[in-house]
Amino acid sequence: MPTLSDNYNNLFAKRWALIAISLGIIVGLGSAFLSVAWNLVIFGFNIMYIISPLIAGFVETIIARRIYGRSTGAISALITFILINAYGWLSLGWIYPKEPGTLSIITIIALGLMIQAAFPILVNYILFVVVVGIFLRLISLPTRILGKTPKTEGEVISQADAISIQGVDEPMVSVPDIEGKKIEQYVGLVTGEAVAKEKEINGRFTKLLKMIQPKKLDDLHLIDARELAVSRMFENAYLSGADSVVEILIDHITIGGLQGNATIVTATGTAVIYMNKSNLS
Amino acid sequence: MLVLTSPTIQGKEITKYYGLVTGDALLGANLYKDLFSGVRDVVGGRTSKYEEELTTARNLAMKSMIEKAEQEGANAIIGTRVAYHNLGGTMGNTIMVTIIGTAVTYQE
Repeated sequence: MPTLSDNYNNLFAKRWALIAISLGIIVGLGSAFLSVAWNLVIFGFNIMYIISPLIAGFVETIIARRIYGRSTGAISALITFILINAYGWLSLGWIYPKEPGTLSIITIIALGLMIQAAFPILVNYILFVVVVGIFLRLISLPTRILGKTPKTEGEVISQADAISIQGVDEPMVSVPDIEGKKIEQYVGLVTGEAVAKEKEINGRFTKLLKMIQPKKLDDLHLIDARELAVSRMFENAYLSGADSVVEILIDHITIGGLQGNATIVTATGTAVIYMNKSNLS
Repeated sequence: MLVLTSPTIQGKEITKYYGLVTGDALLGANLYKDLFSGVRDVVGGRTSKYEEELTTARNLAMKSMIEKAEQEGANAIIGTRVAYHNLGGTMGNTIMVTIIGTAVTYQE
């Protein structure tokens, strides 16, 4: 149970955070006051709605970082936002006889921006999850009405593969030696690479959607790429006269950015020649 | 099914090597989970949702690899390696778990 003195000590320890927040509010409200005083109106919309919470949050964060040591979470931006809106929308002309806002399309867009600045996580969640989710539902609506099963069903969550390559007499293994067989000669390091192509997407909009949605396993042709990488590795080993490859390591590297990704599969191993060849032809 | 990272099974004789077997699973961390793990990061504490998902993905990959080895007729997988890869993308939060091993039969 915290006592009164504990509470006081707690407040005292956080005094710089509180000072930063109050300074942020003062500067934010000051900028709003100047915006109204100088009539800084763009398209019938006072810019204080957008810039004042931003300025308040900026000032608060800088002071908090410098003196308090860590961010305080831009509380003053939220408070400034609420105060400005309370003034602008509810008590028109209470302090200043100027009307701060009129409704138009640009005002509505600016309102969206303003809310985005004040509650970024909530608005981003609505934008990316709710709007896209509703849109995806709408896209799949015709197929559902027609009774067709959408393509997303039956998606691959996990997959497995046993890599076997024709022309290999001895099995290729991920262990350093095979019991019952003696390695006569180590040929050396062999490698093979292959690019796992992503499924081609048609249409610009579905491409955009693809960037937000999580990847699915059947979008990547991983198994094909892995087999290609291992067979290329074996080809290298075979060309240098080896029977098989031991201690195989398979790695996956992703490169790319906005335009799309490529996953590279690499296979590395040690090419060996065994003492007793089982199939000499 | 015996799944080992070691290259041999001590005291047991391996009679047949089948070759490489692999298993994959993708962990698509969706935005909904991201949102709350973000909150949890701020408040403090572990983002246990991710840990749960990661365990699920690894178990799935392991299970599908074991099934493949059983199809081949093996009764053990040796030299197993588990790797986690981050499949970038713009959101950068899809984790792929891949497992690779050697399917073998050993004398019980």
